[in-house]
Amino acid sequence: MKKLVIISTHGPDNAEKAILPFVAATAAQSLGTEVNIISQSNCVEIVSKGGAEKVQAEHFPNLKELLDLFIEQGGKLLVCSPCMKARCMTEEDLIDGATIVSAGTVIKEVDEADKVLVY
Amino acid sequence: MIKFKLNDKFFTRLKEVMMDESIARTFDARGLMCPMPIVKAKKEIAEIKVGEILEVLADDEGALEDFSAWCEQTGNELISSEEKDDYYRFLIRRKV
Repeated sequence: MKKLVIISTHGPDNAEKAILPFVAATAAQSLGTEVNIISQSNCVEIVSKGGAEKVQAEHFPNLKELLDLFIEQGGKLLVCSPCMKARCMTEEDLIDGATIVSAGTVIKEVDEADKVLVY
Repeated sequence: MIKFKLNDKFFTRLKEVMMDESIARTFDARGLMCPMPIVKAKKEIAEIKVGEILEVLADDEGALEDFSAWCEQTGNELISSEEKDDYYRFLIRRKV
Protein backbone atom coordinates (compact mmCIF):
# COMPACT_ATOMS: atom_id res chain seq x y z
CA MET A 1 0.00 0.00 0.00
CA LYS A 2 1.28 3.45 -0.91
CA LYS A 3 1.99 5.80 1.97
CA LEU A 4 1.33 9.54 1.92
CA VAL A 5 2.41 11.96 4.62
CA ILE A 6 0.71 15.34 4.80
CA ILE A 7 2.26 18.16 6.80
CA SER A 8 -0.47 20.55 7.83
CA THR A 9 0.39 23.95 9.33
CA HIS A 10 -2.81 25.99 9.21
CA GLY A 11 -5.70 26.34 11.60
CA PRO A 12 -8.17 29.11 12.35
CA ASP A 13 -5.71 31.58 10.70
CA ASN A 14 -6.66 30.24 7.24
CA ALA A 15 -9.75 28.03 7.16
CA GLU A 16 -9.33 26.98 3.54
CA LYS A 17 -5.70 25.92 3.99
CA ALA A 18 -6.67 24.23 7.25
CA ILE A 19 -9.38 22.11 5.58
CA LEU A 20 -7.55 21.24 2.34
CA PRO A 21 -5.10 18.74 3.94
CA PHE A 22 -8.04 16.79 5.33
CA VAL A 23 -9.79 16.88 1.93
CA ALA A 24 -6.65 15.47 0.31
CA ALA A 25 -6.15 12.93 3.10
CA THR A 26 -9.65 11.44 2.98
CA ALA A 27 -9.60 11.44 -0.83
CA ALA A 28 -6.27 9.58 -0.78
CA GLN A 29 -7.64 7.05 1.72
CA SER A 30 -10.61 6.40 -0.56
CA LEU A 31 -8.12 5.64 -3.36
CA GLY A 32 -6.46 3.04 -1.16
CA THR A 33 -3.50 5.05 0.13
CA GLU A 34 -2.31 4.97 3.75
CA VAL A 35 -2.20 8.54 5.06
CA ASN A 36 -0.60 10.10 8.12
CA ILE A 37 -1.04 13.78 8.95
CA ILE A 38 1.61 15.71 10.82
CA SER A 39 -0.01 18.61 12.58
CA GLN A 40 2.29 21.58 13.13
CA SER A 41 2.03 25.29 13.93
CA ASN A 42 -1.59 26.56 13.93
CA CYS A 43 -2.89 23.13 12.84
CA VAL A 44 -2.47 21.89 16.42
CA GLU A 45 -5.49 24.03 17.33
CA ILE A 46 -7.62 21.93 14.97
CA VAL A 47 -6.72 18.71 16.72
CA SER A 48 -7.54 20.07 20.15
CA LYS A 49 -10.94 19.13 21.58
CA GLY A 50 -13.58 21.36 19.98
CA GLY A 51 -10.98 22.97 17.71
CA ALA A 52 -12.16 21.58 14.36
CA GLU A 53 -15.69 22.82 14.98
CA LYS A 54 -14.42 26.41 14.99
CA VAL A 55 -13.02 26.23 11.46
CA GLN A 56 -15.39 26.50 8.51
CA ALA A 57 -15.02 27.52 4.88
CA GLU A 58 -17.68 28.02 2.25
CA HIS A 59 -17.90 25.25 -0.39
CA PHE A 60 -15.88 22.85 1.76
CA PRO A 61 -17.20 19.96 3.83
CA ASN A 62 -17.38 20.18 7.58
CA LEU A 63 -13.85 19.86 9.01
CA LYS A 64 -14.93 17.82 12.04
CA GLU A 65 -16.61 15.32 9.71
CA LEU A 66 -13.43 15.06 7.60
CA LEU A 67 -11.29 14.66 10.71
CA ASP A 68 -13.53 11.89 12.07
CA LEU A 69 -13.53 10.13 8.68
CA PHE A 70 -9.74 10.38 8.51
CA ILE A 71 -9.31 8.67 11.90
CA GLU A 72 -12.09 6.15 11.20
CA GLN A 73 -10.26 5.07 8.04
CA GLY A 74 -7.07 4.38 9.98
CA GLY A 75 -5.29 7.71 9.50
CA LYS A 76 -2.65 8.60 12.07
CA LEU A 77 -2.62 12.12 13.48
CA LEU A 78 0.82 13.14 14.72
CA VAL A 79 0.99 16.39 16.66
CA CYS A 80 4.09 18.56 17.05
CA SER A 81 5.17 18.71 20.69
CA PRO A 82 6.78 22.19 20.77
CA CYS A 83 3.86 23.66 18.77
CA MET A 84 1.55 22.40 21.52
CA LYS A 85 3.71 23.82 24.29
CA ALA A 86 3.79 27.18 22.52
CA ARG A 87 -0.02 27.20 22.77
CA CYS A 88 -0.09 25.99 26.39
CA MET A 89 -1.69 22.72 25.30
CA THR A 90 -1.25 19.35 27.00
CA GLU A 91 -2.07 15.79 25.93
CA GLU A 92 -5.44 16.13 27.64
CA ASP A 93 -6.43 18.90 25.23
CA LEU A 94 -6.03 16.62 22.20
CA ILE A 95 -8.82 14.71 20.50
CA ASP A 96 -8.78 10.90 20.70
CA GLY A 97 -6.57 9.34 18.08
CA ALA A 98 -3.92 12.08 18.13
CA THR A 99 -0.33 11.30 19.15
CA ILE A 100 2.29 13.80 20.32
CA VAL A 101 5.55 13.57 18.38
CA SER A 102 8.86 15.41 18.02
CA ALA A 103 11.16 16.15 15.09
CA GLY A 104 12.68 12.66 14.96
CA THR A 105 9.30 11.07 14.26
CA VAL A 106 8.50 13.74 11.67
CA ILE A 107 11.68 12.92 9.75
CA LYS A 108 11.11 9.16 10.09
CA GLU A 109 7.58 9.56 8.69
CA VAL A 110 8.80 11.67 5.77
CA ASP A 111 11.60 9.21 5.10
CA GLU A 112 9.21 6.24 4.99
CA ALA A 113 6.55 7.94 2.85
CA ASP A 114 6.16 7.46 -0.90
CA LYS A 115 5.00 11.07 -1.22
CA VAL A 116 4.81 14.10 1.06
CA LEU A 117 2.36 16.98 0.75
CA VAL A 118 2.88 20.23 2.64
CA TYR A 119 0.14 22.72 3.43
CA MET B 1 -59.34 5.97 -19.29
CA ILE B 2 -56.95 7.31 -16.70
CA LYS B 3 -54.11 9.45 -17.93
CA PHE B 4 -50.98 10.01 -15.92
CA LYS B 5 -48.95 13.11 -16.36
CA LEU B 6 -45.39 12.23 -15.54
CA ASN B 7 -42.74 14.72 -14.84
CA ASP B 8 -40.06 14.39 -17.55
CA LYS B 9 -37.20 13.93 -15.13
CA PHE B 10 -39.13 11.31 -13.22
CA PHE B 11 -39.92 9.44 -16.41
CA THR B 12 -36.33 9.54 -17.63
CA ARG B 13 -35.18 8.25 -14.29
CA LEU B 14 -37.80 5.49 -14.27
CA LYS B 15 -36.67 4.40 -17.71
CA GLU B 16 -33.06 4.29 -16.55
CA VAL B 17 -33.88 2.17 -13.56
CA MET B 18 -35.98 -0.23 -15.62
CA MET B 19 -33.26 -0.54 -18.22
CA ASP B 20 -30.57 -1.17 -15.66
CA GLU B 21 -31.97 -4.09 -13.77
CA SER B 22 -28.45 -5.13 -12.99
CA ILE B 23 -27.83 -2.15 -10.70
CA ALA B 24 -27.35 -3.57 -7.23
CA ARG B 25 -27.24 -0.26 -5.36
CA THR B 26 -27.62 3.46 -5.99
CA PHE B 27 -25.55 6.09 -4.23
CA ASP B 28 -27.00 9.57 -4.61
CA ALA B 29 -24.06 11.88 -3.93
CA ARG B 30 -25.80 14.97 -5.24
CA GLY B 31 -25.28 17.90 -2.89
CA LEU B 32 -22.12 16.43 -1.37
CA MET B 33 -18.99 18.54 -1.53
CA CYS B 34 -15.53 17.37 -2.61
CA PRO B 35 -14.13 14.88 -1.54
CA MET B 36 -17.26 13.29 -0.04
CA PRO B 37 -18.56 11.61 -3.24
CA ILE B 38 -15.44 9.42 -3.59
CA VAL B 39 -14.93 9.04 0.16
CA LYS B 40 -18.46 7.73 0.62
CA ALA B 41 -18.35 5.71 -2.63
CA LYS B 42 -15.71 3.54 -0.97
CA LYS B 43 -18.22 2.62 1.75
CA GLU B 44 -21.08 2.23 -0.73
CA ILE B 45 -19.22 -0.19 -3.00
CA ALA B 46 -18.33 -2.31 0.02
CA GLU B 47 -22.08 -2.95 0.41
CA ILE B 48 -22.36 -4.80 -2.92
CA LYS B 49 -20.76 -8.05 -4.07
CA VAL B 50 -17.82 -8.32 -6.47
CA GLY B 51 -19.27 -8.28 -10.02
CA GLU B 52 -22.30 -6.19 -9.04
CA ILE B 53 -22.93 -2.64 -10.22
CA LEU B 54 -23.08 0.55 -8.17
CA GLU B 55 -24.88 3.52 -9.70
CA VAL B 56 -23.56 6.90 -8.55
CA LEU B 57 -25.27 10.25 -9.10
CA ALA B 58 -23.10 13.29 -8.38
CA ASP B 59 -23.28 17.00 -9.08
CA ASP B 60 -19.86 18.11 -7.85
CA GLU B 61 -18.14 19.50 -10.95
CA GLY B 62 -14.95 17.58 -10.26
CA ALA B 63 -16.80 14.26 -10.09
CA LEU B 64 -16.25 13.37 -13.75
CA GLU B 65 -12.47 13.29 -13.36
CA ASP B 66 -12.62 12.09 -9.76
CA PHE B 67 -14.59 8.90 -10.42
CA SER B 68 -12.39 8.01 -13.36
CA ALA B 69 -9.31 8.39 -11.12
CA TRP B 70 -11.03 6.62 -8.24
CA CYS B 71 -11.85 3.58 -10.39
CA GLU B 72 -8.36 3.47 -11.86
CA GLN B 73 -6.72 3.58 -8.43
CA THR B 74 -9.09 1.21 -6.64
CA GLY B 75 -9.25 -1.33 -9.47
CA ASN B 76 -13.01 -1.08 -9.96
CA GLU B 77 -14.46 -0.83 -13.46
CA LEU B 78 -16.03 2.40 -14.67
CA ILE B 79 -18.64 1.02 -17.07
CA SER B 80 -20.06 4.38 -18.08
CA SER B 81 -20.15 8.04 -17.17
CA GLU B 82 -22.93 10.24 -18.49
CA GLU B 83 -23.47 13.94 -18.24
CA LYS B 84 -27.09 14.71 -17.40
CA ASP B 85 -28.72 18.15 -17.25
CA ASP B 86 -27.42 19.04 -13.83
CA TYR B 87 -25.57 15.99 -12.58
CA TYR B 88 -23.37 13.09 -13.62
CA ARG B 89 -24.32 9.44 -13.59
CA PHE B 90 -21.72 6.71 -13.22
CA LEU B 91 -22.06 2.95 -13.40
CA ILE B 92 -19.27 1.18 -11.56
CA ARG B 93 -18.70 -2.55 -11.39
CA ARG B 94 -17.10 -3.79 -8.19
CA LYS B 95 -14.00 -5.75 -9.19
CA VAL B 96 -12.07 -6.01 -5.93
